[in-house]
Amino acid sequence: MRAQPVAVPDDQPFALVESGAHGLGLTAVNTVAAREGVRVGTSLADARAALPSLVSRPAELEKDRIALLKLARWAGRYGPNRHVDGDDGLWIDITGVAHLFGGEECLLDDLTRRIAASHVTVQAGLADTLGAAHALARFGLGAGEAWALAPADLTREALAPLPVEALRLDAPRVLLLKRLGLRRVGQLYDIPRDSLARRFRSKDGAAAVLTRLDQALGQANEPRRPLDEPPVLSVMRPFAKPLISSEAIVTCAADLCAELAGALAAKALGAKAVRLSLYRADGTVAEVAAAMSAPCREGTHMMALLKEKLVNVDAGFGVDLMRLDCVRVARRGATQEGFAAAAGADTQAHPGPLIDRLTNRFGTSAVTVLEARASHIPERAEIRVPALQGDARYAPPWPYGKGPRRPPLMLARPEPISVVAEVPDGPPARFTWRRVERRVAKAQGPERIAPEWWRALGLGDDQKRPRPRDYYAIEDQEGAAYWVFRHGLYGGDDAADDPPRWFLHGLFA
Amino acid sequence: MTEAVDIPFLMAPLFGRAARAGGCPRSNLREADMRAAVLATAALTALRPSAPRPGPAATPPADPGPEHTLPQLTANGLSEDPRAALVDGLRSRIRTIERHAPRLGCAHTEKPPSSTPRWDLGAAPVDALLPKGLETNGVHEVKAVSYGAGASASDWMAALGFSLRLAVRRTEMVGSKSSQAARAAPWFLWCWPRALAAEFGHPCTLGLAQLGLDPGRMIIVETPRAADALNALEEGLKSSRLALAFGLFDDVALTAARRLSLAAGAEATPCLLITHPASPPAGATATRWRVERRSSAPHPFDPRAPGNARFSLSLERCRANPESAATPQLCVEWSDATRDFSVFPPVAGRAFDARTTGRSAGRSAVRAG
Repeated sequence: MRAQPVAVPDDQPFALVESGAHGLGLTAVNTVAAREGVRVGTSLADARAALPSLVSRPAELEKDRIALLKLARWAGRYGPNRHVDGDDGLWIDITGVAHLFGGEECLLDDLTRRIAASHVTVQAGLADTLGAAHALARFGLGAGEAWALAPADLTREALAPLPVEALRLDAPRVLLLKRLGLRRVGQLYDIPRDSLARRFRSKDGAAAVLTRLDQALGQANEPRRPLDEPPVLSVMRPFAKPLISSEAIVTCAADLCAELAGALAAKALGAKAVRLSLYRADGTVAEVAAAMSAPCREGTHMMALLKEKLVNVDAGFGVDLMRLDCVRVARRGATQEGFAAAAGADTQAHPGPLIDRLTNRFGTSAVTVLEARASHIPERAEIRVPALQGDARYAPPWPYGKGPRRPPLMLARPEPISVVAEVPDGPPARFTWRRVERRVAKAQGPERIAPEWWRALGLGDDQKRPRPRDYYAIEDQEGAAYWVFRHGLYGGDDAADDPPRWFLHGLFA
Repeated sequence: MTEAVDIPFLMAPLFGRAARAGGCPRSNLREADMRAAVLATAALTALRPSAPRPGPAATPPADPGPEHTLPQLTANGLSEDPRAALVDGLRSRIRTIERHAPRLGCAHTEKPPSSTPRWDLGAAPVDALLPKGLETNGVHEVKAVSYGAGASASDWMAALGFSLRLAVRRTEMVGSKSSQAARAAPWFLWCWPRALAAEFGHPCTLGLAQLGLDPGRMIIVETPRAADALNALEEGLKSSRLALAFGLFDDVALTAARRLSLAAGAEATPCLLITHPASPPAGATATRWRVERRSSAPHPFDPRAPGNARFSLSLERCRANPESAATPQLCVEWSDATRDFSVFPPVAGRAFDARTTGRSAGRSAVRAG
């Protein structure tokens, strides 16, 4: 339907079909077909018999799902907390938002008008709880109405006349309730909970009904996962006329950054991640995001990070709303914004802005810092963490190594070398690494590094045990120095079937 | 997910948007800065012992001095209200501050420029080749001696080892410039393409710490493409937060080298460029060193163990001293204890270790094979 918008006129009965166990069945019908009595769920053959002029197309559920997700993303203009609800709906949390649109009625008008403008049939419900809004949107609309609204604190009354299907129950439970004569939600209000539970064969069945009822009435919590991380702070700016030129977009984004920076300063916070959403006039959204290594409250810095990605954004038919969300924040006390900030090179200061810019451009994993780990195995003694996450500002200074020599460069994996040694337990006399033979002139060692015994605890008898290593710092006749080790010991328990092997682990510079 | 603590802020901005829009415009911030400046100046004046007290005994001042000296507060002596004179003096101070805002920090330290430490090797014969020391606003290229087309990891290591030790010298220099007692270590940047990282591994914390660098202060940028790493290096040089930036590349084109050189000059952040021994030298560099690893110094306690690192250097290019290219090779030894280089006679070094006498012949044999 979306792929061929002109293929089926709106005034013709139309249905989407999907092949099921009993042949082709209808999954969706348009208004004209529904008026003619065609229902979702009947087979295509039956529907054709009743209405020969019915036009059908195969349903593309995956495309529908993606389109709905896009719509949910677009719906962020009405509130940052929103997500897809089932296969055919979406929810938006508009707490504290409605006044920006001139009230809840105006918000609903605006929402339905904009969605209908893109040729999507829409029914909207607004209530105190997700369950109640779900019920109102699907069952609470009168003829010709685009939305239904339950005024604040009147959810109970608004739900009372609706059918019990509105409570998001599965078919057997709806059937049982109807057999009991409970057709309206309001009828459930007066029945004592215990006596309702007795009517159901299983405890779960009754619990499901009561939970759904409580959720709809706001007496039970209903956890919901929003599409995006909910922002801590956000600022937005609607435009009467959509912005098309990239200069205007950049200017407005800079204004938003300055506004957010002011809001952060007022709360003694600093942004760690921001997200700029551009809502285009054609109902699509473009998002650019940036993260900071240190809490940031400089609008210019935020803008510098966002601007690099903003140039790639296509404004399309124009941007009519921009929102800047502060996704993650951290405490940041007041700082003296002195003149010294511009006083040339400050090599003591944390290079947060540099890390941000590099990470923004090359990715989180490309910009790293080293962190120590508690292990005496050389390759486990350190780890590279993304500089963005490394809280390097508070890292204590590194203790200078007093122990045996360590190379400044360590190979990612120790590389096997073939070694000729004067005595089996001694340092190498000659070795071949990367196909070049080198003669050893000087050697220091061994430094024995035992395996971590706790790693051998869970091993069975047939599994290989970690072996000790004897490390040597050796220098060849050309002056190049290497860090090599012998894995395993001569005369050890397992030396007979698996003789010790030599590896090169690091390069002294 | 944000923590529960953050939830009170969740909707606040959306509620309070209209209120906040006029809340903290930029002009207010600027005003606050101005007030801070006035207060700070007043405090400085009060603390300064040499500032003459306003009063009838004060002598009328001579014509106003240079901008950095504190204006005489009793500007017109007897005739005027000392308060007005004070305010006038503060106003002129603020004007001075605004004109020279970036240099406020050094205006009062009164450090003679000659005391700024030089970045050099610590070995007098080598430092004599560098009239201004190693320039902190330039790119310094370090190459190993080339033995033809191929270069093994050990060749790179000679250049890298020399560069790392220059970085240690730079750390010492930055540290001595800083007057704070409890200062933090300076930051370094290390940029290289992934291909080199796959060959040489990665910087090892304990090894760097033993050389004298703080490994926690090293930002490592590893990108799939060399051009990206060059961009990162340039960005780092412009950031003014680094003591030094390392770049390891197979080769650096003239345009890229020129960009690096300009970036290094912009914020006086030096750059050490370690390139493939056989690649053509990068242009636009302040110096270019050709480094060869020599057999290490004898270990003080163990004759069979490797000791201090020794290099033979030749300064192939020096922007400040064009004649330096003609100087012969110099052999230097790094001392881990004093963290400086010292010159040792090359013959003495060879005579000590008899096994290294045949090294060049052996070397060429390996290359030929």
